[in-house]
Amino acid sequence: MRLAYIFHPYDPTLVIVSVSVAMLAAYVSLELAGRIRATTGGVRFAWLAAGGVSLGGGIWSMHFIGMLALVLPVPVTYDVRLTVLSFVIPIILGLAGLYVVFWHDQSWPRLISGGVMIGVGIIAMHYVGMAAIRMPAMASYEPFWVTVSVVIALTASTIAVWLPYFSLSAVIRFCGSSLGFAIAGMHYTSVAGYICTPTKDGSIPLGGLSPHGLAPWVAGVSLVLLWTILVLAAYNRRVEQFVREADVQAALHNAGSELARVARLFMVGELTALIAHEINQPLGAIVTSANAGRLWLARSPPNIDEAQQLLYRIASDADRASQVIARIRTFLRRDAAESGPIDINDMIRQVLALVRNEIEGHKTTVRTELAVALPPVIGDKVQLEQVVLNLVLNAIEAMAEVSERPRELLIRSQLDAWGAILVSVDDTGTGLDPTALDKIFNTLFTTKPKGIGLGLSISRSIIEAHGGHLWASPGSPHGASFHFSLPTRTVSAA
Amino acid sequence: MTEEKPVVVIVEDDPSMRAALDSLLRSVGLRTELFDSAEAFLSSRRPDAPGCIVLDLRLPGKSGLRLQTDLAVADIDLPIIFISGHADIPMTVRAMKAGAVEFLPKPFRDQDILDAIESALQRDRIRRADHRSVVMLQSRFDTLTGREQQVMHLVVAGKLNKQIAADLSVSEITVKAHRGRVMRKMEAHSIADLVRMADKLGNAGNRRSGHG
Repeated sequence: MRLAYIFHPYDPTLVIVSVSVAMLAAYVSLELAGRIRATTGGVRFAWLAAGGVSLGGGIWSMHFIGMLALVLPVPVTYDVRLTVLSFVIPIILGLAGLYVVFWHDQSWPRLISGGVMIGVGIIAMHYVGMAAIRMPAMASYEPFWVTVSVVIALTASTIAVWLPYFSLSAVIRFCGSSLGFAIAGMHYTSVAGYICTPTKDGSIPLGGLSPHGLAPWVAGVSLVLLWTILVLAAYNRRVEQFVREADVQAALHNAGSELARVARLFMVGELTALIAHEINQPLGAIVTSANAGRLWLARSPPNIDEAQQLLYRIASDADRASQVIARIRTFLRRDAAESGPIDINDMIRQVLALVRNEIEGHKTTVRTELAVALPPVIGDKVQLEQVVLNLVLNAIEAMAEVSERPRELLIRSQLDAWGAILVSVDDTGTGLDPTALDKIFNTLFTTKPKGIGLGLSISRSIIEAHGGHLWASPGSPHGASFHFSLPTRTVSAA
Repeated sequence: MTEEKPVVVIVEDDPSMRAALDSLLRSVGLRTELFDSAEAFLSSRRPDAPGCIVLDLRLPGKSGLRLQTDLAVADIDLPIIFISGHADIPMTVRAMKAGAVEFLPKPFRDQDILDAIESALQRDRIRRADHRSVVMLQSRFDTLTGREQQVMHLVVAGKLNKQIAADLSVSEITVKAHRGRVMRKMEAHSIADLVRMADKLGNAGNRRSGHG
């Protein structure tokens, strides 16, 4: 009686389809489950549900495609209730397994128990599915192949859920195939030990789903799987693009503000001596005045007039010192994107006051031709001040070597034909190399021995952020001219 | 020997600091003269009184260090006290090497600058007294005849009358007579006194040629 039809022929096309469905389901479900950890909130349930349904549906589809591929010697129908049960079981166990593995942080107990759950889901589906078969034959199983199929399902499932922790997409693809192997391997191993002994009467079983009736369902589930993977791929691309764009944006933003900060620090370095002098000057005057006042009051009779004058002077010097500090503070402030109306002429005067010592130290004369009644510019005062400061310091430096002609710095402000404010800084310095004229605004380009080539490039970005232009031209007959224009009705983009 | 009231020259471009210094020095009874640049000071007439300069290191136009050099070249020996808001070590070293009395970073204590001024004025007094005595000795020396000057040089060189007589090919009696006139005209009380005077005159001469 034994081994009546132990070897069953297969339809090779359907076998390939069934294995493909298994792989597909495995890949999709693991891909979906992998997103659980990457997200928060209710979306996690959606990913888990999608993963579980894909896995369970995939297992089920694979099984019945595999059954269609199997050519049995007797006609076959399927018991509806058991078929439905075989659909539900892998979904529930798949959900459970994915939940255990992916919902919380990774741990070995979770990995193994989750893998086992999925493995049990595959096994249970298979044997319930087999139990749904109605045919005029006796079915039995070779215990050896049953054991092998169980081992394959459990091991491959566990390996499959463990592998994504290498978190390389190539590896995920492989582990998808590992879970696919668990599903398909279990099925065909088990079927290899399936013994179908036709009964004598050979009557056709009544009721139940015919294989043909089952086919649309199987096809439907497979289609859903395919559709899911397409959606997933599209979603992935979107997310990656979004992430990449966000990364690039963030990097650009960081680089920009970092650059500005570094440039500022360098300028601060150059200005440190200047600032120390600016602060020590009023402080020295205050201390001396106070001591003088003390001495005047200690005389007999005390000289009240002198002391009073000294007190006035102390107050005004203290005010001077605090103004210097305020200037330095605004200069050093990193997040200085304040927008407001700015009187350009005032700003120019303030910058000149800041570099007064530098100008005098270099024996430079300053002329200003500031147009009256200029409309205000809207923008970041600190940033624009930095531009003017940079241009003025550059001009002073360019004239440091000049001795055969007067060192003259000319700052002009005017309203141009288009209603924009035009500021020019002219010097009688060494001038610009015409071939370098285009390059001077490049980052890290410098003609100065100690320069780092950031000042002008930062200045240009600041002016452009305010909707204006910064350019240079040769001076006549000597030196260089730097100009920037600023629209008078622009809200700073900086 | 009446001494004129000392004058402290302040060369400082910061009006506030200049006024404060002026007030401080006047409060202790010093006379001051104020200038806002090295050029303004150089074009002024200097009073004939002991004095010193309180000089800001950084000035518009000619810097404080430059003024120090110019004054040395012009043989104007006023002691200098430097003040500076941002003195660095090389500048300080340069100023002190060039003979500055003191280098005070701003802000400074009143006692520090008053002490510095006091020592600068003391230095100037000594220098002026020195200078006066040299001038006086020089005028005495100038009244000597050529022969008497020769005799004086040989006497302070430690030569005996006999040797001098031999050197100058004159009699010992004549040397004694010259020597007596030298002592009287130079108002020297002893040979040692005369040696000191000659020393002083010699030094002054050397110093002048050194500066030229």
